[in-house]
Amino acid sequence: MLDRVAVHQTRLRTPGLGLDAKGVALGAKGLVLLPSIDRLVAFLALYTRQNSLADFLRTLVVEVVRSKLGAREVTITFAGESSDRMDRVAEVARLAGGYTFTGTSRHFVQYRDAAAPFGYDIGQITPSDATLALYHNAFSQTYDSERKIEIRSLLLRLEPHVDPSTAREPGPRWICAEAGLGAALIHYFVRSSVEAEVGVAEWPPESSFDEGPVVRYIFRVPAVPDRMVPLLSSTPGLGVYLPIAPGAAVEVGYRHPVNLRACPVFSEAGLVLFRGGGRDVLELTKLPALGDVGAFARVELRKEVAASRVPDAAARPPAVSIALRLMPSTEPWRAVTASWIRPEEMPLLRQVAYALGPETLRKARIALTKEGAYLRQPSGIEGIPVGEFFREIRAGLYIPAGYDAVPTVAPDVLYRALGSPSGQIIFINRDGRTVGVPGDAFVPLETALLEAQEWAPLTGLSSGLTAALSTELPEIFLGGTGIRPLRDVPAVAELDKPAAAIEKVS
Amino acid sequence: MAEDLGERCEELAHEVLAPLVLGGPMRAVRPFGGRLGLSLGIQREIVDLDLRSRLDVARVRRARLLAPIDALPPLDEADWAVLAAFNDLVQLTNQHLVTVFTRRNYARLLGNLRWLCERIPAPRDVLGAISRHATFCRALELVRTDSSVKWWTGSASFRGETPPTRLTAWKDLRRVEIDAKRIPLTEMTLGLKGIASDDFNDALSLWLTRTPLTDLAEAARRAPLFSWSASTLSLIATTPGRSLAFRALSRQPAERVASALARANAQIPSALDEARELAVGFTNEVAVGRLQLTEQHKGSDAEPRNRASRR
Repeated sequence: MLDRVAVHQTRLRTPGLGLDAKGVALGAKGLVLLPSIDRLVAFLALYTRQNSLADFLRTLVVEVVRSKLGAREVTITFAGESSDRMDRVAEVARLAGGYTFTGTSRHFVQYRDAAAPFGYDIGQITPSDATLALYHNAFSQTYDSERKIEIRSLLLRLEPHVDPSTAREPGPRWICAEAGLGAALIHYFVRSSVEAEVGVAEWPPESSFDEGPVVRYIFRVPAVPDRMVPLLSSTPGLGVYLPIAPGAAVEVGYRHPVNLRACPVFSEAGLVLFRGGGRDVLELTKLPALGDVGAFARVELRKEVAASRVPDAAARPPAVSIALRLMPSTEPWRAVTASWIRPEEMPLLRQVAYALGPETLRKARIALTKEGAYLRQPSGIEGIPVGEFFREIRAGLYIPAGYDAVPTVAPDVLYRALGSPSGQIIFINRDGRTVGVPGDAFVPLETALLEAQEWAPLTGLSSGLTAALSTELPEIFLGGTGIRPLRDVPAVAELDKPAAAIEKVS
Repeated sequence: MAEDLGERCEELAHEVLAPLVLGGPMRAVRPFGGRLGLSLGIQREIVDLDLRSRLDVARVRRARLLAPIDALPPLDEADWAVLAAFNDLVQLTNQHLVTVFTRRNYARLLGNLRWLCERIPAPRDVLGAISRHATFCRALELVRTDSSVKWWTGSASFRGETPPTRLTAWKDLRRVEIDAKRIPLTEMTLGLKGIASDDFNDALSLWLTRTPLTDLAEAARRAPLFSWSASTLSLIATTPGRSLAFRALSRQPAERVASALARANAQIPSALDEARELAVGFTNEVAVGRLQLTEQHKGSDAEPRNRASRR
């Protein structure tokens, strides 16, 4: 039976349990106990509908635990930073048929509910060697950890549900075509003037009987014309996928049980395609190089080239092409997702980096060049107030924030005018100078900060010893010495006598 | 008798020498006394080849912390005597050595130990010194675990013994609490009737003089305090020995080393001018060497920072 925490109570018996600013009993961690894996999935599905797991994904540990009676249950442990977060989790856990606890290391007590608005405290701790002891009003139970469940692998194993409504959602699509259909689809797109990018991805052979790796074509289509949707989604060998989260897409007509946008576990550099109908997930650790399908347009060579000869004296017609300029714009800033930090501003970036939150550090990507650093942050670069801001007018094309390119050509036209460089991120500076930064050069900011660290070896007083000899300490165990332990030890006075004399005496 | 001695030597190697060099649980064997300790290692070597090779590897690794050598000579009869003396020294901490009728056992063993240590020859050369150091340098790392067991109706304490399972059974029901403490070698005789802690530390100090490089390497110890002996002075009288001693001392905190050497210098009788001059000269060399090392480390620390700022 648990004790209710009273108003203004200051001392709690549960180890690691304290009172937060509201007076609610709260430990460093929160724990949700669920009876089975499908309840775990239900919990994740319910929670991610309205909340994101990104806040505590790093501290999230899912384990299968086993009670003394052998019953297996599932626990979710996470950093219980505030009672607000715990309240949200507790509500969802209640709905999913789970119990919510709070604690710090081993002992977890029931989190507050309507009957005890300030939480609960333990009357007496259960002495046990178990890794987990849970105290609830209805039960007290100890558990041993059996195995961990990785969230990513769990999400990969979940079968998407049928949901025809996803076919009507607008936006870009990924299309995966089997090797035999790839070329035909490219030409179909070229003939129909559909803007798309294509790449070839390889998967290891499914069995040793296969001759080579499995090859599939991957298309990224910004907008699939409606007339093509039935053909693309009904042709065997083609799969249309709706991007759900960075690095993850679900086949059109299906929906993943968990809101993947709220679970940032997939790498943005790769792609995971969830297929419906019981088929395996297609996983790419790194996206293949993608190129414009226009490059595959049919080529016809003429027999002769009629070269016109320009008369020397003739006046040349005035050139139509004009230089690109940037003009200040009065429009509000939108899609400001990159910045250029000059070399002299790098110390400022280093200082600002100390104040950045973990989420920003993780999501921001940086490329270090001779001309300084280029930062990209898909959700907005304003959080890192250093350098000159750029806005993205097209994927891979940036112009300074607060400026418009004149002539006001379409961003795609401008991109083509720049040669549609594959794998390059183009930045047009205010002085009209254009630079291209390789996309591969962008690495997470947190990695770059760490890699930039210099360290110097210090000679520790015992470093050589510990490094060379990590042997255990000699430890003496004392015991009985038997009958007459000193039978070989003569009296001190006899030590200096000759040995023969002693033997004779004895 | 010879076979019996061979078995005892092998037992000594397995139970005392191996844990001393390789680490792990050590169980001191029956005391050897002075006379047997001296004759124990004559033409003796470890029979267990596997153990011998593991010991050789560990000893060479220890020695290479001080000097770039690839092989060490096997244990000679003096090394065996030092080992037997160490076994007897550890037995002095054993509460089972005395009973009501044998209260003088500690004094008898202590007298034998002193007699033995005074007769064990110092290392013949610098290689001998480093070989002996490689074998016995972990002596002061030896610890003993004392346990105090409390249950709901009583308590019991154990020195260097594992509490019996009958006392620790049914932990939850009997509310058993076990409090274990690590005791270093120099404090192992505290609370033991029949032997004074000072006497034990004197014996330990005498034993340490038989392995002079270890004695110098542990000069910054808290107890027993370091003092110059004939063997340590003769080691630093040679240039290679002096280098080795400096390298060994440079792993200890500089302030404590300086104060330990200064205190030991002051204890050298005024009649021994030459010895005092030698010790003071070595102390000054150590001070200068440590200063140079510190500056060198500062330089190597500053270099990456300069590189980072340039970047």
